[in-house]
Formats: sequence, structure tokens, C-alpha cells
Amino acid sequence: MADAKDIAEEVVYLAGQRKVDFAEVRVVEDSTASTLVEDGRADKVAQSQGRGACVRVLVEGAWGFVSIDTLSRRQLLAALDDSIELARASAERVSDPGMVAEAAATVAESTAPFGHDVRTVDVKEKLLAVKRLEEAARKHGGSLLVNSAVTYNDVVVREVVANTRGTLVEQESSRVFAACRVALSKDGMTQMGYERKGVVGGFEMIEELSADDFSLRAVEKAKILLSARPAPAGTMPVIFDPSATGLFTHEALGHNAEADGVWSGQSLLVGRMGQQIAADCVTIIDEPAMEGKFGYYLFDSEGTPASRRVIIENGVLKEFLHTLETAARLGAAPNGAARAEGHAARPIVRMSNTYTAPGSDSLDAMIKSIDRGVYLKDAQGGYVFTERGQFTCKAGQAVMIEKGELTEPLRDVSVAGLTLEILKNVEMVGSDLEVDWPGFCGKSGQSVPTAIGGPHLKVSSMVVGGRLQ
Amino acid sequence: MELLDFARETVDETCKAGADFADVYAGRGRHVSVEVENGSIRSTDVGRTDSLTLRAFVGGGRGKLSISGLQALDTSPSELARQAVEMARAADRDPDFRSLPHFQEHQEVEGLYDEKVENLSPADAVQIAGRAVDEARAVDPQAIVMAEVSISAGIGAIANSLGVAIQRPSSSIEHGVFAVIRRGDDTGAFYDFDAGRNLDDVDLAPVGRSAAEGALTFLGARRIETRPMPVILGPLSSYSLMKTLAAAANAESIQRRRSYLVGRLGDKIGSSNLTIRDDAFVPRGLSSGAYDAEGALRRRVAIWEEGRFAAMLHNSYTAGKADAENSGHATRSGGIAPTNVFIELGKKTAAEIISDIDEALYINLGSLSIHPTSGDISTSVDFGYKIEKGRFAYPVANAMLAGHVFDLLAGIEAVSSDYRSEPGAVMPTILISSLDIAGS
Repeated sequence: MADAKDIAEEVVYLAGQRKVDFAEVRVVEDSTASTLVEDGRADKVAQSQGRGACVRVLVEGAWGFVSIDTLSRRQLLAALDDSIELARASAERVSDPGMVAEAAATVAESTAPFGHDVRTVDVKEKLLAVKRLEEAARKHGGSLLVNSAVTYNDVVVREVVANTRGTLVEQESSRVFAACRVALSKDGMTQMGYERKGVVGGFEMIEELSADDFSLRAVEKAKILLSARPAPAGTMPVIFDPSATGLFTHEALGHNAEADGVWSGQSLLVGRMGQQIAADCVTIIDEPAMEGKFGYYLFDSEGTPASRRVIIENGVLKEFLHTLETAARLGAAPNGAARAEGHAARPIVRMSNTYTAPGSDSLDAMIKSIDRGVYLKDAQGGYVFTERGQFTCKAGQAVMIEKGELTEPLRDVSVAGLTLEILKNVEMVGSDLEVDWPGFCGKSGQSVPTAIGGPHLKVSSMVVGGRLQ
Repeated sequence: MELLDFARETVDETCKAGADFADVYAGRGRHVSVEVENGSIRSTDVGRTDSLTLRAFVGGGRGKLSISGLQALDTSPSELARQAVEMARAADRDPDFRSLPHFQEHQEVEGLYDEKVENLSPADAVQIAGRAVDEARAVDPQAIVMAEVSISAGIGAIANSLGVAIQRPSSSIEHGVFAVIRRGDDTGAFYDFDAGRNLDDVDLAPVGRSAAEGALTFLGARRIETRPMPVILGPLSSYSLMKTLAAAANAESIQRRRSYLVGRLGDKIGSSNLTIRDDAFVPRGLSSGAYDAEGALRRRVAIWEEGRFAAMLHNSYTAGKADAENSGHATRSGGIAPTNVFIELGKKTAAEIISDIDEALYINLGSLSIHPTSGDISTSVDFGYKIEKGRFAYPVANAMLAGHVFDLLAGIEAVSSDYRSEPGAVMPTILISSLDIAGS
């Protein structure tokens, strides 16, 4: 992307001549490959190629942003003119002027580590590998199986960021994601099992994946659901497995620690920095530079080096996630949490790999401590209303806990809670740690890859959205 | 080159390269958005898009190539064709694939494009967003106001190897406001929106006010007991349920046997109050259009008739596989989705439904999250009120509800006669006899 760097630098230089307070140019090129193998047939193969650029300027306290689906120098210069005009057009309604942190310029090039470059793998080879996973699902599903599908996606993204503070960062990363979904049917009931894996890396993720293990896990989940009864309803103790801990950590706390929401007043963490907001045993971290994890990156979309963010340490709120702007507004150091989905979107505050740090308790001790509760496994998805901290997490699997023992399997169920209440209700934190659940986090119309995880975790009381017995 | 000409040429080249069938969807447009954060304009954005999706079919195997930055593309239609055909040849053959749609002449639905929307400037969008802030703060000067104004206009072209050649302009304007009001540790919040394809169809000014007024009603939320209870879905929530029930008629999910409606076509599953139809021909409707994303002529579909699951929604693939008529519900991503969804209205007004009930949970905003395969429901109540003795008693905090879709469908006791209206959408109030509520 030598040309892209030259163009970005030139436009940034010209922006500087136009007396803007700040200007940034990003150039993004991406290529993706995907296949779907469903019910034994690999009949859908797809590729995409995208290229584009954007210009973002801060003029008299107002931001203007223009994105274009081309790398043409002429159009990028026009985009600079337009972005300045946009900023000026909105200035009169800006009551809270934009600002940018005084951070040292970053000049760097980075390529995320990978083994087997996905671009060198022929489409037929990718199809064969994915077929192998789907065949295993059909084999293990046997006569109960009514539908099986394995999806495969890889994406290579190259991004150049330049700004008027002298930052010039070029980075490239490759992500690989696979998911197996099966539907099993018995006695008129159909249940679904789902398994996924995703890395920042290369095709080695697929080559090293045991088809039997991966697809069998999806089948086993559906099989268990076929004989499970609905979860009970009401308020009770719950144990999260590492995936559910990760989902809870991401939804309940992570989104509230995004500093744009803190600045706007939308986060319930406003005014709580330095305060004890969780039980002593809770430490929560967002760490982009975890090699191979799905939320991995070394520089964010503003070119800021990505730091390890300890959001909560031993129950005390320590740090928010920042862009250059939120860092300036809240008087904090930029920590590289500005991410954008492609060239057509502005960088906003986002998480990366988010997890609760391990403690010292065992899963056995957690189970033994509960008279009646639910063990939640296989996190599937969730959301939060940050202004109240009201969050919801869906678990694909659950097990009843009665008199200190795991008893019968339960169907998929959602749980809900209020962030500040539940953080204080965390009673035990396991000594295990897994940060292996890839996902795509949505915010303000943008989706970015993230990973979640943690240890097992016991919460003394939360609402389980089950059925009345 | 005109977009449609480029699409046609690419289709021709794809067939020459060896495809049995080919189609192209190409789009070019401009998008303006203004975002407000805590009452101040956060950013004003303009995006220009220029993209193409080419599908080649060989023996039913499909290769799909998506490109953005079409105008600047230095690749010829023949090169795009070569890549798509190579992928289609690598794919397995699919004997269930029969054909892409043939072209059927039909007049386009009126009111899908409004020049006045396309001509709105970013400065106009800034003014609309600014007014929302003023309106919300007139209700409560301390209201925390998040808002977005989004304006899109462009041209879409569809061409295929069976003579489909359609090019049409479209426009839309959407305006959403989320207001948060705090009183000490107590927080109320609410969202409202307006949307349309035509400027005359949107009434932008009241959105900020209604979001702030809604937020005030959620102050002082209380927990409710765990027990079964009737549930009333307000207009924003009922429309989400109607869309979900229409989307469940997706023929591919049913053919693939991963839907709770497998084997139920023709069965009476719901109460007689459940009649839902899909109609893409409503003038000015947000989801209207005479043709689907494959260029197939759309059909009006009666999906649910007095509780009976009456018809599925098809694209060309599922219709061919089932030897059924294509209802024209293909999406650009290759799936199937409903368009404008309407439910048969009842006789009582929403006020009468509420005043007639002794106790219920009223959901103002939010979906019921029905599992598409099992039909199980387990979801949060994010914007709910408790109804006692026919009146709104208090807002509800941290509650969940659960059940099964078949119980829900059988339990639709009433649909209101009055409704909130949006272009192509009628949103009434719906009473469900009982669901399990989890609270304290």
C-alpha cells in the first residue's frame, strides 16, 4: 500500500495547510472468502473485495467525516473539502466542542502473526476442509440430525492511518472464523447446537481443527437440549462457565467502560472512577495484544498503540476505554480503543479481548455452595442498556444445581441483571481462564471482531428467564 | 457507463465464461448521517457507495463475488465473470437449484423515491437533529439526548441472464432519539423514531419530545413477582412480534428442517385473532417494491389466516425446490425476508383492552426473541410497565419473560382497532393471555 500511504500523507499535509484543528485519513482494503456447506453440499462459495478511504476533520470544534469507495487522489481531495464544509455546517449546533488528545505521533508498520496465509489457499482446498467438518457433524448427528451447516470465513484487512499530528501507521491482519450449526429432532422437538472458533491468524486454524471434536461439540449440545427441561424462573444463584463469564463481562461492564458513553452521560459509571463498584474478587481487563485472539490488534484505527486496560482491579474502577477524543475530554491518556468497521465508518470506542481475571476458587466449591441455582454454559449473545446497566445474556446450555450438586440438563435460557448490583453479587471467581470465544460486537451500526472469556464465576443472585414449574 | 448497462454486460460475460445462470445487483448512492451525543452534534458524516454483487451458477453450484469501489475498478466485466464462474465450478452441484426468475413486467410501486429527500443537505440534517434536542429538553432541560438523522438516496440495478433488467431510484430518511433522564440514582430512558421514503411522510419534530416524555414514565421502576401473567404488547413491541412471525415463514428454514414451523403448513396453531399478511405493494412503504433482490415480481402473501399457518415466503431457490410459486421475497444476502407486514385489526381500542384487564405486564418496546428452531422464548423486559386494575401502575425493573411460541400464538386474545402508523406499517396493541414472568 505504498500508494495509499503517499496519498494519505499528502491529503493530511494539505489538510494541515487548511488550518483544521485535526485531520485524519484512513485507507482500507479488504478481501474476504467464505463458503457454506449445508446438508452435505458445498454449493455456496463467495469472495469480496473492498477498497475505500475516509477523511475526518475537526474544525472549530465540529467534526466532519466523508468516506468514498475509491482510492482516487482527486476524489480524496474532494472529500477533504467536503469534510471541512460538513464540520462548518454543524458548528452552530455543537455545544460541546470536539477535541483531540495531545499524544505522541506513532509511525509504525505491523502485520499480525499468521501461519498459513489464507490468500495462498485455493478455494477447492478451503471447500474440502470445510466439508470435512460438516461430514463429521452428519456422522455424529446420525438419525437425529435434520440439518447441518458449517460456515467458513476469512478476511484480510490492510489499513493505513495518517493524521496531522504526524501519525502514520500501516497494519495488516488476517482473521479466520468457522462455525458449525446442527439441528437434531426427536419426538416432535427440534433443538439446535452451535460451535464456533475464530482467530487472528491463518488457515492453520482450520488445518489444526479436529473435525470430530469441533462438530461433535455442536451435536452434543443439541442432543442434551433434546432431553432437557426448561430452566426455572425467578431470582437465584448462578454459576457462569468461562464463555458466560466473558459475555457477562463484555455486556454488563465492558460497554459501560467505553468512555464515549461516560462523556455523554449515558454510562452508569459516570463519577465512579476510583470507587469500589464490584466485589473485591473482581478484576476485569480488556487486552488487544493477546496474540491469536479474535479481538487482537496492536494499533487502533486512529494509529494509537493498544494498551492493556485494567478496567476494574480488585473491585475498584480504574480505567475507561478511550479514543483520542474521549481521552482529551476526560483528561486520560489515550489507550488505543478506537476501532472502525472499514473505511465507511468513524472510529469509536470499542472493546477487544475482554475477560475477568482468574481468582482462587474451584468449580466444585461453587457448586457445593448452592442449594438451588443454575449453571450457565455456552454463551450465545447479549446486550445492555448502559444508562441503567440493565443487561441480558443468553446461554445455549444450562444445568440445574440442587443441594450442592449438578442434577439435570436445562434448555437454553437468558438471564438478566443490573450491572452494579451483579458486580457486587460476585461471590466466587474460579482459578481457570479461557479467552477463546470469538464474536462480533455491534455498536452504533458498526460490527467489530472481539473475543470474550474468563474463569468460572459465581453470582449470588440474578434473574433467570425460565419457566414456572 | 450506466449502472444497468454495466450489470447487463457483466451478466453476459458471466454466461460466456460458462455460467448456466447469472445475476448482478449493483448500487450507487449517497448517505448522510448526523449523530448527536448528549445534546451536541457529535459528527456529520457523508458516505458514497458504489458496489456490485455478481452471482454465477454452474450446475446449481453458486459463486458469488462482491466488489465495492466499482467506479474506480480497473477490472473488466470479463474478469469479474471469470472469478465468479471459477468459484461456481469449485462449488458442488445442487440439483435443487432450478432457475433464477424470468422477467415479468410490472409497474413499480409509487413513492419509493423522493427528490426532496435526496436534496436534503447535511446542514438540513443538522437542523433536524438540533430540533430533536430542543424538543427533548423542552420536556426536561437535563435530559441526556442521543439522536441520529440518516438520509440515503441512490440507484439500484438488477440484471440476470433470463432478461431481468431493472433500475430504480430509492430514498429514505430515518430519525431516532434516545433520551435518558436521571433523578439521583433513578434513571428513565426511552427511544422513539420516525422513518419514511418521502419527506412528507415523516413528522420529525415530535420524536425528541416523545422520547423524553417516554423516559419520564420509566422513572421509579420496581421489581415484580415471579408468576404467570397476561402480557400486552404496545405498538413498537407488537410490530416486532409481527415481523418475527412473518419471518418464521421463511421457506428455506422450513425446507432445511431447522424451523419450529416444519410440517405445520396448513395447521391451525394460533388463535383466530392471528391474521398476518405481507404486502410489498403499499405505496410509499418502507419495505415496498415490485421486485425482490433477484428481480422476481413480488406477490402478496397471506402468511397467517385466523391462526392457521397458511403460506411460506419464497425466493427463486426455495420455490424451485418445492415446485411452488416464487413469492418474491429474496434478500440481497441470498436469504428470504418479509416486506411490509400487516395484522388484521380487532374491535377494541388499545385503551379498552388495557382498561378491561385486572393485571398484566405491558411491553412498550422490545422483541420477544423467539428461538427460530425450538420456538422457546426467554427474554428480558427492557421497557415494561405493570398494569393493575386497568391502569398503568408503575414501570418494571429487571424482569424477564418466558414461554413457547405455540402458547403465545394460541394466547393472542385481542388485537386493537387503533394503531400507530408508519409508511407500510400498521402497529396495533396485542393482548396475550399469559406468559411466565420472572422477577423477584
